[in-house]
Amino acid sequence: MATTDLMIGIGAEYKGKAAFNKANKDVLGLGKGVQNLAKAYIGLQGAQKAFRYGQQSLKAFVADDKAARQLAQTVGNLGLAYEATNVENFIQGLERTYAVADDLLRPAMAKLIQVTQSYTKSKEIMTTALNAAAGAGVDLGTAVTDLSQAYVGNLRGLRKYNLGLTQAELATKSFQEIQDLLNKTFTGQASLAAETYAGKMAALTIASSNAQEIIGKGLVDAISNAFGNGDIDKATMQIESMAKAVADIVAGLGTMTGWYSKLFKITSGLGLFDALNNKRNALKLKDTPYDPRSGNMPDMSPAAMKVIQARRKADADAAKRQKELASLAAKQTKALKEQTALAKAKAVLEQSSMVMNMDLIQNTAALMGKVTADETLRLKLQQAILLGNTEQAGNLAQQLLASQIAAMKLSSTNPLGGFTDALKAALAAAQQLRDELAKLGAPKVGIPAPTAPTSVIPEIPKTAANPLGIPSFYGYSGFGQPFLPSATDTSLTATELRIFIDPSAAAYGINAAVVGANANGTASTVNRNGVFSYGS
Amino acid sequence: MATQLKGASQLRTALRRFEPDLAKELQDEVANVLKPIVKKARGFIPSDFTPSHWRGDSKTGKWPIYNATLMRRGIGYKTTPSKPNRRGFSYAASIANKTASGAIFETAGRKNPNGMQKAPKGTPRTNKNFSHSNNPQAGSQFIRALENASPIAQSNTRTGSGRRGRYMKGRLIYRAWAEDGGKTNAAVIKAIEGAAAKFRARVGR
Repeated sequence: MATTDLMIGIGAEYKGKAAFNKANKDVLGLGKGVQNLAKAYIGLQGAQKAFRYGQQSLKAFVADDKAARQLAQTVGNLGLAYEATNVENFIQGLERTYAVADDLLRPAMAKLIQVTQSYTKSKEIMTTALNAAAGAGVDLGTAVTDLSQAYVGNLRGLRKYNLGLTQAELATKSFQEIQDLLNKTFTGQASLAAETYAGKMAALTIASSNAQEIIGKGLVDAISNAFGNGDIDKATMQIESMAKAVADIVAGLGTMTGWYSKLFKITSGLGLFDALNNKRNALKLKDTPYDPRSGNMPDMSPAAMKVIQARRKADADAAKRQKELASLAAKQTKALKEQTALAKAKAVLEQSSMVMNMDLIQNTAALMGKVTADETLRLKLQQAILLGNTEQAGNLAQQLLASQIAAMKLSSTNPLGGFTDALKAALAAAQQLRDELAKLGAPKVGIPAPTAPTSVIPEIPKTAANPLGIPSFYGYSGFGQPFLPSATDTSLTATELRIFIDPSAAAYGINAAVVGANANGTASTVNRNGVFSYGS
Repeated sequence: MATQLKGASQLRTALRRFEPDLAKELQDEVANVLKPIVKKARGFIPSDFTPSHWRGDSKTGKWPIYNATLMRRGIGYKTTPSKPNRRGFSYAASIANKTASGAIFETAGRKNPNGMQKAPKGTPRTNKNFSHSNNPQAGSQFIRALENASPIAQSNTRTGSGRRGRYMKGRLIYRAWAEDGGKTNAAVIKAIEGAAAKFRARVGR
């Protein structure tokens, strides 16, 4: 019978709103639901984790495989295809020995082989780079880049290894010498780093990564076997046609494992896997981890001999190339040195007008009686620079500098003694130029001592009538009048007149003149003063 | 309005668990109190009531046939507690009118004592706020016939301010309840309290 609201209730009792009860019930239900969901989620998480791990394994394997193939291709392109296996073994050996991931080693090795074009040399440099990286605290990629650059003559990157040599000293050394120095400085650092806690952690990480790669490879093989009889392309097509994502297959890994176990059980008695095991045992030599420190000799089969011959040829080519590079670098250095010397000499010439006032130079040179010699030097230096004669230019620049320094010292001597700051700076600059020119091969020239001027007119003896010893032309009849020689005046004979001034007196006089000029005001000062006085 | 009790359901649970005879006794006592009301309500249903348009079933079955026997049978009582209603109240005992025709007889004219207004032109026939009969007086005539058979009564005896709602108005159970004047309600409460006292006496509390 249908329910109806037509009811008279007797003895009402409030029991709480149904909505509250419902809400309470719902909350309880929700709690249970959440618990169930959590359980389900944990299960799902597990499945998802397994799936994700499978995905990561696949990715790791694909990346590793790609890197290995790229390296093999690089090695093959450089004509060293016969070394591809050795390179791979070497990288695996390094990975195990020094706990450095093959992801880092492969590109590094590829870079070295590209530069050296020799497997043997690349091996040596790689070992050096590993030690240097561990010792100097830089990453392997940087160390390999620095060494590969150094191999071709660019030594800029070697600063960070603090080898105790200046760049100039490094530039004089061959790559082999630099490598020996690096080996001497950092040998054993890589092994030591591998023995540390961090190194062991790195080894664990590498082992985990390798496990991922192995599982990834297994997955790829399993998929290709299951769907394409070992052909991955076929398997891919089949998977696509089945419209079932690979993810489902990975998620069903457990089932697959079960299948493999069953298959193994079924076939274990049939000896199907024995052949595979035998093959693996036969190939065991190749699987043996490579130890770069072991002195194992390769077998002497004709193929091996061929490989050795090819390797020797590649090494010889690499050595030859290295020599050529060194020779080229030396030539470049020499040319650069010559260019620098010329530039310095030119700078001397240019700076001579900057460090000193030209008038003062001429004046001083005149005072020293060396006008002609100084000018000659300048002209000769200019000529040498124009002709590109480095040696002569350097020598002449040194002579000119010496002359200038002497002139500067001479001209600036004042009664109070000492030099001004500006003069000191100028002298220092000139000295620096001398030093630099000396480094470039132009020997320094001694700075000439200031010489006393030689008298042309005999000294007039001081007498009672002439206590100052004034020359006799003061007694000429026209004394006190302007001396105007006339062509018509035949009584006069041509006489060479030279005036010599005591340098210190001249300097004093110049200074006094300058001070007087400043006190009186030049034209501009007067104008400025006038402007100020009128207040405009 | 029903008197509000506290602990009636717990008392009933306790009686059934510890004193089943007292529970049975209470139920019988309440039933005896409610029976006269039910009998009276059933008595308001006329046997020969046959309005012109309530003679047969509608074709769709939504309008039930007038069947006095069935209607009487649909009026009954319950001595067990009801489920809480939407407002959270549970009743220790109840009287109900459960048939569709009994409900029509009970409540017709509660909302519109003169029947519903005739639907204006264009009003869809699904609109239930209007009468769709061609006879504009159909509703009024129907309610008047019912009123002649049994007048509608307000059973809400609550005193004090406030409007009395239409939900306690009716021609059968509500009329019987209204005419009872609250005696049955008091008798039910008294029976429950008596059972509680007996229970306390028996368990020594």
